[in-house]
Parts: sequence; C-alpha cells; structure tokens
Amino acid sequence: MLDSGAFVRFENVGFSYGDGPEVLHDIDFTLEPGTFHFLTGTSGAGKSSLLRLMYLAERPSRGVIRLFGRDTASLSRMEAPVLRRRIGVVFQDFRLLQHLSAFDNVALPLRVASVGETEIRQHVGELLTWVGLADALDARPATLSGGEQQRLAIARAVVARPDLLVADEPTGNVDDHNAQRMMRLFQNAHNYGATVVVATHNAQLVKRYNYPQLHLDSGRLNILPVALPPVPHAGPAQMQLPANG
Amino acid sequence: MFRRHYDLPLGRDGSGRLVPWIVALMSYLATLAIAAALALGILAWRWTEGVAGAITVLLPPAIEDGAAVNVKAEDARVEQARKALGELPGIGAVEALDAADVARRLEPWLGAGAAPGDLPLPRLLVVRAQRGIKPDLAAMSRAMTEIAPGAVVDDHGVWRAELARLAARVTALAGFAVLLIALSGSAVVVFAVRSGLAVHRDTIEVLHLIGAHDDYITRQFRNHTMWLSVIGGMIGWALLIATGAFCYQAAESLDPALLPRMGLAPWQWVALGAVPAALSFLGMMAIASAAAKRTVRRALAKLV
Repeated sequence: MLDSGAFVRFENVGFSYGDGPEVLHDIDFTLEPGTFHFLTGTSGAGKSSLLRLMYLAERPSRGVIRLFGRDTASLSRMEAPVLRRRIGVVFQDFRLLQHLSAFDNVALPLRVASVGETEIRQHVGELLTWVGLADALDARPATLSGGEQQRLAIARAVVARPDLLVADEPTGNVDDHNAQRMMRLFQNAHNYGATVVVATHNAQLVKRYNYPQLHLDSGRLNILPVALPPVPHAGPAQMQLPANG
Repeated sequence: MFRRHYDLPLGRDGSGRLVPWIVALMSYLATLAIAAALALGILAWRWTEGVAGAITVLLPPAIEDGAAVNVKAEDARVEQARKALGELPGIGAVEALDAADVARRLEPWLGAGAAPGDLPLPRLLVVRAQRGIKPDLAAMSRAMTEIAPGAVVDDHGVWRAELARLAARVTALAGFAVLLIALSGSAVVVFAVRSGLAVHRDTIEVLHLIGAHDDYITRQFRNHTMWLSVIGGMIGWALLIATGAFCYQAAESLDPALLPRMGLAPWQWVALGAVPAALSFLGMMAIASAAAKRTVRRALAKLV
C-alpha cells in the first residue's frame, strides 16, 4: 500500500511484548523527510520499543506503521530487508560483530546489499576516516575504546546512506566530549538528507541541540516543539570530518 | 560455490565440530551398503549368466549295496543318456562329465586321493539348449528315468530364482540402510545447524536488522555445512580406499573351488568403490545442504 505522503507515520500504534502488558499506547505521529528529532523519556518509558518498531525489529500489536510510504504490515519477507536497508541503526549496546574487523563491521550493510568489493573498499575507507578510525581498519571492536566503538557503530549505520537513521541512547555511556562528537556525526548524516531520530535521556544534550522532541511518558507520546532557536554550533552544516580525540 | 569469508563465525564454535566425522562415517557406511548390493548383483548376474540355457542331468550311481562301482558300466550308461538327449528336439549340445571330472570337482571336499570308482558318485551331463528354444524338461526327465531310475533333470530355475530373490533382498536391505544413514546424517546436520543458530543468535539478528535477506544468512550456514561435508567426504574416501584394497586382497585370495570368483579387473574394483562413493558423497552433500537450508529458514521465519 503506497502512501507517498508518509515518510515515517505511526497511526494509533500499540505494542506489547508477547502476551505481556502494553508498553506503548496509541502512538500517533509523523516524521517528515529530512527532520531531526530527539526521542526522550525516562528509563522504561518505551523509547527502545518505539525505535524497535521504527527499524522493523518488531511489529505493532495494533495500529499502522508506514515507512517510506509502505504499510509495514503488508511487507513480505523479501520486501522487509529492502526497507531495512534504508534504515541505519545505532544500537544501544552497539552490537558490533566481535569476530570482524572494524572495516568488515562497517562493510556489513553494503555486503548484505550485494555491493561490489571495490565500491565497499572506497566507501568504508571514507567512512572510517570520517569517524576518525582511519588507523583502525583491521582492529577488532574489543580492542577499541567505548567512544571508538560507538563511532564505529555510527559508521556502520550510515555507510549505506540510509534515509532514516535511528540511534538508541548513543551518548549513554560516553563523556560529554564524545557525546558532542557523536552528535556532530548525526548532524552530518542529517545534512546529507537523512531523517534522524536519537533516543536519549540526556537532558543537557537535548537542551543544547534543541531539536524537536518525541517525548514518551509511560508509553504515551507527546510531541514537544522546539523551544529555542538551535545553538549556532549545532545547526545544519556541510558534511565534515570531526576533529580527532 | 563458497564465499570467501563468513559474516557468521561458524567455524569458530563447536557446533559443527563433529559433522565431518559423522559425514565420513555415514559416507563410508552408505558406500559399503551400496557396494555390497552392487557386488552381489554382479555375482548373481555372473552366476546366472553362466548357467543360463544350461540344463544339468544327474544320473545316480547304479550299484547294489556292497558292490564296487563299475566305472565302465557307468560310462556306457552316460553315453546312452548323452545319445538319448541329443535326439530330443531343441537340444544343441550335450557334454558328459567323465568320472575323473566329477572326482576333480569334488576334490575340495573329498581330498585329492579319491579315485574314480572308489565312491558311488553320481554322473553329470550338461545340456545346452538351442538358442531361443526352451527344451521339454518333462520329456528329458522321462527319457533319463528310463535309462537311470532316479535321474534328476535340473534347469537351475529354482536356484536362479532364489539367487535373484536374495539379490533383491540384499539390495532392498542396502537401500533401507542407506535411507537410515541419510536420516541420521540429516539429523546430525540439523542438530549442528540448530546449535550454530543458537550460538550466533545475536549476530544473525544484527544481519537481519541491517537488511540481510534470509537467503544471505541461509547461504552462510549451507556453505559452511557443505564445506564440513566435503572434509567428511574426504575422510570417508580415505577409509574406503583402505577398505577397497583390503576387499580386493581378500577376494583374490579366496579358494576358487569353494566360491565362484568375482573375476573383476582392478579398474572394475575401483569403479565398484567409486560409483557408490560418489553417490554417497553427493547424497550427503545434498542432504547436508537441504537440512541446513531448511533448518535455518525455519528459524529465520520466527524473526519479524
């Protein structure tokens, strides 16, 4: 079912895990292409569940989710992976494949999409440079610091130039410097056209970057508009390499 | 056929460690079963071919209790029978085995010292029918009974039928054994793949969520399982070569008087081993591939 108007659209979505209680209730919102949102709420408010619905890891218990104009309930097993390739995900715990090198981790989304190795080498090389890991091509994730692993996870999420980029608490376990650095990466991805949703409970970060919020409170969603104009250094910018460190 | 590398570290966990050995054993046993059925089939064919169209006439010894065997009288009776048989319609040739011939054939049981006339032995005639004509066994039997009461005319039909039945039963048994082996092999592969799926559940979910088709993940399991099967097949072949050499030696050293020789040339022995080995190998590959594919697909179907 094609609906060209809805980039990301949740219509009265409810969600529960198995036969458990409903953790998301009557979720209703639309994300326009090229927007940047924070997904906020306390721990247990349902942020991860909402993101899992968004990146097609779960199906709603009720309601309709439309992604890129498609009703996700009508997706076949062959179609769902094609849609997933348009979504970049930064998982809360990174979920990097420990047996693969940094290069191969980032190359993964391209390999599953059957991109040629020459193109993969070029793109992945550029991406790892972009996230400041050009010297760590062959490094295993376990040998990288927490901040480096997070940047590697971001590189993997954006390497296929997704239309939708979702990140689940990416700044949860890093210091302020690394959190800002990560935000710059998300902003760069936003600048090339990706719609970005970053889940966080870091109030300082939300305040500093001042993007509109999808706020979850006990499984119910409120959309909070932008309160203040974005601070100058956090606004849209050209794709640029972050400073190392 | 196989990818350069796997996104799933299937070779690093213990889930498939036993697969090559099990496949080796399964291939080995399946090959032995098929080879045994083939060998018996060849033997049965050779034996029945040898007696096809031949009729054996057995004349019991004509002696009274306690009397010595009169070899000349026996020879005369055999000659009389030979002539009588030659006059019957449909008979091509009649060969009479003399007393020395009979004694020689019985030598493995009676020893080399038994001279014609020492024992009351039956006399044999081998009758060849004309091509395409089935002789009248009843008429032959009547004619022989007149010359030698108690004579037996045997066209080997019963023996050939029993041999054919035995060959068919052994073939069926071999088929059943191969089926059991295939099921066991399949179960082992399914178990190994399920273990692999459990071990790599997280990695599989990541691949799934970044857009990997079911085929992409299935292919990795299938290729890995097939690779393990190839290794197993090689081990199985090594065992088979050793077994084949042993069987060849054993068959060549059989006493030809006690058992008919298979009479196979070395290359035929190789073929006898290679055909079942190839069948087993390809079969195990197909089973491993199908079992891995089906198991992974069923597991992936549970993911959203």
